[in-house]
Amino acid sequence: MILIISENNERTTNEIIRWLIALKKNFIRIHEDEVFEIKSENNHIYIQSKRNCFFIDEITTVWYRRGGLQFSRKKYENQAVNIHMNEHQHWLEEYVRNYLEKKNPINKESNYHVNKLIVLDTAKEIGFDVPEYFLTDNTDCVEINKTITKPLAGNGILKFQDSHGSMYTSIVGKKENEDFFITFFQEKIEKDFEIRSFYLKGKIWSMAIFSQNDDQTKVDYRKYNEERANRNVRYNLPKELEEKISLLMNKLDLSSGSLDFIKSGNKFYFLEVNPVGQFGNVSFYCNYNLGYEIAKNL
Amino acid sequence: MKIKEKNKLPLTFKYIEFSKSKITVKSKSSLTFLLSVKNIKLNISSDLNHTNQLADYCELF
Repeated sequence: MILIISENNERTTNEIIRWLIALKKNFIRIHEDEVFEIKSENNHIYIQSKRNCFFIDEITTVWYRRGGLQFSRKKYENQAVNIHMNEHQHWLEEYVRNYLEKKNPINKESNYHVNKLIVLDTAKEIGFDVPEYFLTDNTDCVEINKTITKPLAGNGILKFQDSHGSMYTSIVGKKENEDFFITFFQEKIEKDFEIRSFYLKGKIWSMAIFSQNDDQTKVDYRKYNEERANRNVRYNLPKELEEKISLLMNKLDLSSGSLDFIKSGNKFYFLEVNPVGQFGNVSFYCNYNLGYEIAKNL
Repeated sequence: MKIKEKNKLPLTFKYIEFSKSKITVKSKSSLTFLLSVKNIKLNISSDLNHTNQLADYCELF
């Protein structure tokens, strides 16, 4: 039985599920808003929510897409008992998570949050070309129009009451008079084009994105121009770069993820990796059928 | 829109691009409701059951 840990309304999950149905593979899909209780029967642990109920030893493969396993915890009136029982339940929950993460997983809940800074340091150690980066709380040493800034947080979208704000990669256009909270800065690379690669257990599929000729997309291609879309084509990375990608993913203990590169002259600059990023566009534009590749691996 | 906070924020906040929230639809009944508010008569086909499809559908308006 395949276990899929995902979110409500997650389109990629739906796509993979269509493939699982076509391949006649049994699966259980759980959501981020589902709360489980840990129970046992005949010495076997099972977890139960309002939607799902299964023995954890029935699971053969896990695809961690997004969200996470949530457990309900019992509370106890006596404080000393409550502290003890809180820890007892914590270890039990951790055991269930850990048990499932050993089931031939595609990604894990425990490490899907990658630290962009550690990833960049690791990529440098492996030998990737990485644009120079630094952290600072002022623009004294920031070269204007030659430096970009982007959020350290994985998700650059802030949902306000009646609007939402997107933090894209931006060129620093002026010096600031005041200090600010420590911010990530990186050397701006003049690109020939961008590359998005999807990695799955040692295999890599890449797409070149010709975003540099459009003012709207040239700094961050995610500012999609819907009227005049970027040209996206299949792309083969050099073998040695693919080997470095595998090395990086192994070091980060990630079995799947989307990686971004900039091609500039004869260099491929590594930008970042997103273990739970969308790869639907790579699959669709390049006809890679990545949904099938994932379903096949489960 | 200006974000005001007592504590300092990273410079990335100066480069935020704001846009109005999209309509999100959680169920078929809420889509029917939205359409009725907008006075749009539409026969929702029975295969339009999934929330994503509903959301896509709603963005058309």
